[in-house]
Amino acid sequence: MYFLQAEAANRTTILFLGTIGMAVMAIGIVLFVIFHQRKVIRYQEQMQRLEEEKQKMLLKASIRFQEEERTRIAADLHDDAGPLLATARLYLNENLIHQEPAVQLQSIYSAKQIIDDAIQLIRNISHSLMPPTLKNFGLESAMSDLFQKISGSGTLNASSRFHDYRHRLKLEKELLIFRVLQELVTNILKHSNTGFIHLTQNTSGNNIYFRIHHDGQGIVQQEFEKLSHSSKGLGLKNIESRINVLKGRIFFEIDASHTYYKVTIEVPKEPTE
Amino acid sequence: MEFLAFSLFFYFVVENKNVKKIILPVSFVFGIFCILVYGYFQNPDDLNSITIGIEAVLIIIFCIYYFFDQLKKTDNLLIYDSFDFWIIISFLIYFAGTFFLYIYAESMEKNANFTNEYTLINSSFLIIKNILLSIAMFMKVKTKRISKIPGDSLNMDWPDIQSLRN
Repeated sequence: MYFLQAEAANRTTILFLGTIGMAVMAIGIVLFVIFHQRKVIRYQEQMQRLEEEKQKMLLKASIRFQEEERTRIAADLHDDAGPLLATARLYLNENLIHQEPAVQLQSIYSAKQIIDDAIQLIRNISHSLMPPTLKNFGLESAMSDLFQKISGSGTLNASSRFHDYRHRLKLEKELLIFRVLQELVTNILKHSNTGFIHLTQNTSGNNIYFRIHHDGQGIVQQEFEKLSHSSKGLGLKNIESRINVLKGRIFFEIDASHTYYKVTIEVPKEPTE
Repeated sequence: MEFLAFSLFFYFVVENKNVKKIILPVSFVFGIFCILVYGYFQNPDDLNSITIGIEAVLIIIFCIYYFFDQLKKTDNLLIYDSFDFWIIISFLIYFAGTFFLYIYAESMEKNANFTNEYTLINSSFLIIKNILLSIAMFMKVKTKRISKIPGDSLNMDWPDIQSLRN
């Protein structure tokens, strides 16, 4: 009310000052919003760049892993299957030179033995690429098989329990999950010096969860992120890249009592059609 | 009418449903108030500082809310790339600039000096408003957005595994 009751001269001053003040306030709000938003966008762009760099690193790791896998298969075929088949060929060649039935029989028998070995070798290579248990009976059986083999060594207790896996996922998805779990288990066996490994599976909403517990020396999320961003940790990069393909998430945690570590994988549910 | 048109525009611009629910009753109440003031208490040709003052305050509040709403968004889109931003700032600057002018207008209508000041201030802000509205008309709509990261939903009942420890 003071404004309305002021003298005429004062009114003009108040009017101009008030108008300028309000205009400055309005412009100030607009400028603040613009600069704040630009700052936020710059930050988002920086985050996007970091994410792109991470994706590139994962892609490189994935390619490197594939190359290593190919080199291993090539070496297996060249160093093991190659000489076996060459030896079998030599024995069969002997048949063409020596005509005596006894010698021929002996060389055919030897060739058969070598071909059997070669078949077994190729079967082993094939199994390492696609485990037959996984293909025929699913992830639950494949993991159970893997843990039975680990437990069979007698050094540690490995077990798995699937709570809700009535509908199998697509084979490609199961293979990816199997590889991730296999890599995690291999890492635990190699680095953690654990006494037990336990895998549990459960579903919640539209997601499937796999959780590995172990009481050895593990890592937490920050260490996982640090390692998967460094030049080391190819296995962890592969895990992350497979998880990305699955459109899932992975969490490395330690329980509140610091007695065991947990690795949880979250994968969107998508049953076989 | 001006306020109702602005409210309608604001209603379409704002995404928050609760705020949308508030805009309509506020506009309705303000409309009724104006009809009562000009229909029963005052000549429709005369200026009423109270209605104009309330209108200006409401529009300024709407504009500030619009900016607040924009700051919350995660769009990777510069605010001044959208036409609604230019419309909003045109109204904000106009109503902020002429707020005191209209508050005084009713009591100083007959003062010759005030008429000159009124013309000067009102015309200046009207020109600014029209320039900003013209910019808004030439803007193209851009809709680039960044997808949000889903929230954590890990609430599960895992079995007690302590018994498994060797």
